[in-house]
Order: sequence, then C-alpha cells, then structure tokens
Amino acid sequence: MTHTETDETTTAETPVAAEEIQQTDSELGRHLLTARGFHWIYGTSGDPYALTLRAESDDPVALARRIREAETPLWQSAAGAWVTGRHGVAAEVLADPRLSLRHADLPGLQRHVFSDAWSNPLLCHIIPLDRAFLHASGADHARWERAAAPVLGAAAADGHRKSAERLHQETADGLGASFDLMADYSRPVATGAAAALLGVPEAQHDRFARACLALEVALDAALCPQPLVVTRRLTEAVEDVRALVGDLVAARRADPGDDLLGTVLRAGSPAEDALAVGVLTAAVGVGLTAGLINNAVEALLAHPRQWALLGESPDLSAGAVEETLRHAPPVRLESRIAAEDLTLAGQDIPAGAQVVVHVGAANRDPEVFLAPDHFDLTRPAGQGQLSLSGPHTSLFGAFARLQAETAVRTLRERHPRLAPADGVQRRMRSPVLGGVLRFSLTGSA
Amino acid sequence: MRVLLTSFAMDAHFNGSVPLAWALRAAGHEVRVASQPALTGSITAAGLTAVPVGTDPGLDEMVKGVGDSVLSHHANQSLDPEAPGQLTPAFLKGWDTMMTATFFTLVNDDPMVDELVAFARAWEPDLVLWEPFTFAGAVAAKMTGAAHARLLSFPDLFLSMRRAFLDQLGPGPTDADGVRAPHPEDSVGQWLQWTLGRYGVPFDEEAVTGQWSVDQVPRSFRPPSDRPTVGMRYIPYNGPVPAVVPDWLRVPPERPRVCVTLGLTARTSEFPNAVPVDLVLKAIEGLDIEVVATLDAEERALLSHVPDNVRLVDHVPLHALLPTCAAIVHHGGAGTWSTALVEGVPQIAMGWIWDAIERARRQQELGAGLHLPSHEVTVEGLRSRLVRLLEEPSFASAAARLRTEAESDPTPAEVVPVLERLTAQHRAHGRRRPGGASTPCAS
Repeated sequence: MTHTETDETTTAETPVAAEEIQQTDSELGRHLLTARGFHWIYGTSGDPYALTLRAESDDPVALARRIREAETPLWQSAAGAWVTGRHGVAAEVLADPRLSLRHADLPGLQRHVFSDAWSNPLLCHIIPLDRAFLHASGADHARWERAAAPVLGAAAADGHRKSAERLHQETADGLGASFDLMADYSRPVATGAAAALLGVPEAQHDRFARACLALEVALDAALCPQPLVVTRRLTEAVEDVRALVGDLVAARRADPGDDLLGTVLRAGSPAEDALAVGVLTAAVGVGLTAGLINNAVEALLAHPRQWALLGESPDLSAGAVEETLRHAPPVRLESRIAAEDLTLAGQDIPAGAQVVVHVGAANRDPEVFLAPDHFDLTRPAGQGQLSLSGPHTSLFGAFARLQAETAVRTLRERHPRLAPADGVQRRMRSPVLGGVLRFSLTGSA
Repeated sequence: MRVLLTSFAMDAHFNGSVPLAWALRAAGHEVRVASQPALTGSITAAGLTAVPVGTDPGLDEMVKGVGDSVLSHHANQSLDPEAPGQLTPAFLKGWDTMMTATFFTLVNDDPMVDELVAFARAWEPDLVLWEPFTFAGAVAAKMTGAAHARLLSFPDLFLSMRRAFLDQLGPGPTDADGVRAPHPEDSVGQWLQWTLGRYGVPFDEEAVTGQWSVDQVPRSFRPPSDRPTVGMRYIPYNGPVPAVVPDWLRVPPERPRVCVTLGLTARTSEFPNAVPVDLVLKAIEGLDIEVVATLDAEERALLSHVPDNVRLVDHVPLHALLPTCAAIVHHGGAGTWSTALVEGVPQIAMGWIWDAIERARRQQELGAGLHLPSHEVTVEGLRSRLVRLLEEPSFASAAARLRTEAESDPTPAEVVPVLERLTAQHRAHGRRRPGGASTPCAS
C-alpha cells in the first residue's frame, strides 16, 4: 500500500511507528507514571478536572457539576487545561476551527516529553496516537467526513437499518436468560457492524475483534495514562488494524465495492484517507457505539417507567438514544489545542494552550435544559447534539445512533423484564469514555 | 569482603550509614559509597570513599515544582499501620503513585541505576547495603549476585504501608510460566519491573524489601514485620558540618538547659521547614532555663526578638550538647530525634509529615516526650508542654528507659560479624573472596 501525504499538518509515516515501539518499557513506563503522578498531584488541591483525569473513586457526575459550576464559564485547571462545563461555551469551542485536535506548530507526532517536568508539563496528548489518526487536523476530518458521507452520513442511516436489525436479532438469539451486556451484546454488535462496514472477511473477524478490544482505551489513553501493558496492547493493536485495513484498502483499489472503504476511494480520495476512515472505525466507531448502547440500557433500566414507555411506543427508541447522548454521553471529554491566541468566554487563551469541553457537564447545564439530571426520553429532538459535535463523534454519530436505537428496540422487545443483576462495573482510568467492563443483566427468556 | 553502600544524594538519608561503614572498615572490609555526584563531598567529609554515579537528581527543582502538592497529600496523615481507618485505598494509591513518579524514579533514574550496576559488575561487591529508597542498590546486587540489605535510619513505615497497599490491590497477573507480575496499579512494582527488565531479570518483591534489613530504630518504634531484621544501635553522626565543642559547652549549665533546633536539612534543601521558630522562642521567654538554639542566619531572620535566656549558635554537635540538656524542642527530623533518644533526653517533636509523626506520637505514648505538630504550635501550648517535660520526672525516666533499650541493640562493630554470616548465606555461590577480618561465621 502507498502512503500519501494528505495535508501539511499530518505526518503519520512508518518509521515513526518503529520509533514508538522501540521506546523501552522503562522509558515509556516512566513517562506514563509521571503523567499519572501529575494527575494525582494536581488533584490534591481538589481541582475537579484533575480529579476527573485521576478517575479514581470520585463520582464523575459530581465532578462534572463542579466543573460546570466553577466561578467562570471557562477556567484554567491546575493541570494546565482551560476547562468548560457550560453548554454555550462548549458549543462555541466545538464549532471553532481555531481549536484543533493537534498543535498547529508541531508537525508529525503529538509527542510531549516531560523534559522540564516539574513545571507546566503538557498533559494534552499523553501518548501520540497519530498512527490511529486520533490527532488529525480539522481539514483532514472535513475531507474524511465528506468522502464517507454516502455510507456514514445521517442520510444514509436508513439504508443500513435492515442489516442492523438482522445483526441485532442474531446477537439477541444467542443470549441466555442472563448475560453480560458489554461482553455478550454491545461489544459484539458494535464490532460486527464495524466489520460489515469495512468488509472485513470472515477469516479476519477474530483478529479484527481482538484489535478493537485493545483499541477500546484509545480515546482515554490520549488524556489519561493507561498502565504500560494496556498502552503496549493499544499501540500494537493500532499497527495491526492499520495492516488489516491497509490490505482491505489495497483490495478495494483494484475493485471498489460500495462498502465504506470503497466509497471513500470512489470519492477520489487517496488511499491514506481510506486507511484513516477504516482505522478510525475500529478505534472510535466501535467504542462509541458500544458505549452508547451500554449507557442507554443502563439509563433505561434505572428508570422503569421509561422502559415501560418504550415498550408501549417502540419508536421512542430514537428519543431514548438522543436522551442518552445528552444525559450520559459516550464521549465525556473533548480536548482541543488553540492554533492561535484567542479570546473565549472572556478569557485570553494563548496559542498552544489546551481547551477541554466537559460534554457530560455541559449536557446538564440548567441554563439550557429543564430538570437536567432527569432522564426523559420524550424530550424534544436535538438535545443530545453536543455529544456528536466533535470530529470523531460526528464522523460515527449516525452509525452509533442507528446501532443504539436498534439495540434498545431489540432488547426491549426480546427481554421486556430485563433487569440489572448487579451494578455496572466501569474501567479504571477511563475519564473520557467511562468504559464498561461488565454489566450483568437478567433477561426474560 | 567488599561492601557497597548506596544512598541517593541527601545528607539526612546518608548520615545514618556512616558509623556502620566505619565499623566495616575497621574490621578490615573494603567499603565504597555510591551516590550521585552531589553527595561526593559529604561522603569524603565522612572519611569514606565515594563512587559518583548518574547525575544530580534535581530534588530541589522537583520540590519547588510540585512539592507542596505531594507534601499536602501526606501532611498530618497518620502512617500507623495499626491505626484503623488511616491507610485508606485512596491515600495509599496516591502515596504510591506520587512518590514513585516524583521521587523514587528521580533518585534512581536509568543513568544512575546503569552506572551503579556497571560499577558493581566491575568491583564485584559481596554485600550491597542500600538506603531504603535507593532501590538501585537492590538492582545492582541482583545483577552481580551480591547479597543485599536495607539500612534503616527511621521506622520502616514504607514497608508496612506497602504491605497494606498490596493487600488492598490483591495479586497481580501471572504469566504463562506462572511468574507473578506486579499489579498494574502498583507503581513501585511496575517501575522496578521495567528497571530490572532492562537487564532481562524478572521483578520480585525482594527488590523492594532487600534480603534483610539492618534497623537502627529501637524495637519500640519498629512496625510489625515478617522480614528478617538485624537490630543495630544508633550511633550519632551529624553529617558533614564540623563537629567542634565550644568553650561554653565545657562547663555544666547553671540552670536546666533546653536545646532548640530545626535540624540541618531545611537549611540545605528546598524541603520546607514548617516550624514557626519565632513562636518557639516566645514560648520559652521568661522560663528559668537556659536555651541553646541552633539557628543559622536565615532562620534568625525570622525572629522578631531574641529572649535573654537564649544562646544562639549556628551549629553545635548534638551528641556533645544533648548530654547537658534536660529537654529538646525540635522539628521532628530523624537524625535529631535519634540522637536525643540515645542520649536519653525528653523531646518535644514538632513532626508534621511521614515517619516524623509516628516517631513523635509513639514517643509520647511511651512517656518519653510530647508530640506537637508544627501547625498546632502556639506560645501557650508549647510553653505548657515544655514546663511539663521539665517538671514531671516521668519524662526523664521514660527517656532513660528508651536509651537503655537503644543500647541493648548491638553496636555497628558487633553487627559486622552478623553481616558477614548473612552475606555468606545470601550471595551467589562462589562469590566468596578473601579479605576483611577472619570471617568465622562465613564458613
């Protein structure tokens, strides 16, 4: 496969990967440990953003409230980032093209070494995930979204509904009377739907699923240092999924079908763009989808009257997913870098500074939402919009929404007396996704 | 035998090893002291042979940058392993994470470890004695087959906290060969695994505990431990400052003498001295006592006024001063505390962090002193405590009991044959070398 330089700000070439893997355990491990130490250190003063990144026993919703209720709508955390939990500022930040996923003046890997470690360490990119296309420029994202629109765009969603229903029915058929929502349902359907989008051949399904599993921590790993072994599995999975998708792209170039990669290629995009969209499907699309399903089911089961309502009107599944996007967003934190000096919410933000939107906090802003802590699937449409306003969530928003709607509808229909057997267990060090480890349910076989 | 002593570059952590180093030398053994170059002056001032390794760790820069936060996590926190509800999971995880990120990895960075291992490979020590946070010593021993032990100059709360932390985490994962790796949330274990891994050696807990410990803290202050421990009597050595007995110290005091000191560490490092020294001197004003306050120019600048009954000196050897004292008021540091303990002097210790809290608390429990955390110091509170110390004879008799307890442990000279025997048991086979005294126990 060939590598094509897609724009001047993105460089993700093979030699860089070799360098990444050559970092010794001791070098990479100490880097991660130091970043983790900083999150603890900045949390000692009670800073709610630092405590969010620490992701220990503190209640993330309570921390989100403190982030939102800070004196100024946009405030600087001890951890360096400018943080907002107000809906108005959040929407402004996410729409501002001067705020990007990467440093405007740092070509190539978004790697920060804590050389002057004890003052102002850059905690905005804990590890460089450029090889997973997670720190791409706004221009790259716009091009990818445009090329993928015939498959991933909102208008295309209805066309995928039948195949989604088939996949969900098949998965539901395999469920016993009790099952684990994540392991037995959300993850398999999200991975299966992604494999279908990319046209992953049957023989490669297990390999693809293994890679997706290791990639589940990707969005967290960018902001919150993961243990070394988890980080190693992640970077290996990035390389593996690049190789897997790279082979698919090469095959589509000879024979473009109408799947996602073929569609991107047929739009005249270079192979690197198809690779990017494919890798992002595994690194972001799968986790976003599984997370949305988990959060929707968790919220519905915690509100039996809403679950009952959904039984009476299955079409409320769209409202249930929309309300989940608002109430329990699958991506809680969006991190940006200021490309130039700018003024936001009355604050002067210097070029290169990190700006973080707490989507979960903004989505419960009482200035925008009535009874914001209340989960209500009959709210007017569009209230979860902020949750799909980032480049990653926007690219896969329609896909995740369709899968989650289908999941909610299928589970409600097949298991009307579905109930948690136990509380939901979430991963540690998962401040961005609140990734679910286990969620045991008893169904009604 | 050849004995490699190692401590990261900080006088307060090195000083406790000097008497044993000399006992080994005097018994005919070869001794080298490895540390970062910043300690070379202190090592040679103690008459010992220095081996500089690595580069200076920049502890002061770390303390200036993040010290407040790291210290605030530990300030006024009981580390008593037996106190219920103190060593919570959140406290212990923060302790493990922050201390490893900011301190253990800093004073044992890769270049320091590599140069220490390289020196050990060339010099082939039989025994490595390491300061308990200088884990590089354990790595060097493992890489060369030397026996290795920790040399403790303060209560071993590190290991009791670590045990509580590991119990809370549960076991780490095992690999295909059944070798157990450290838990992913165990920062110390993770870091030592990577460090040993660079040499192709798996981690085991011995890299944290040593094969045994030499403990200079009297038995009453040792936390419960299932690790082998060799007790050793603390012999005061105050560090690289000149020890000179001044004229006035050669005649007995006319009134009860009280020593006031803030130690030496805060003078030479960024480690904060939390003691409100002006309040301390105000508290003793007007008492019918003679006060000797060891304060340098910077500390004196904090005084609004010097009471008539105070003699200010920059420095005086504590082991020469304390036998003339009826009490001591101090910041809580380990060297000062240990010296006062072996001289049998009742203490008011103003410890506010780490083992200083536990030493002072336990001392109060044993009746040999009073604990007054530095942030709680008031003129009246300190004065009334000092009056009690001077007027109630129970303090002096309890302090005398602790002195007797300390003296019941073997001296460094008496510990040398024990170390010879343990070294022979623990070092890799075939490493025995001639030299030193007759080694009766090594056969």
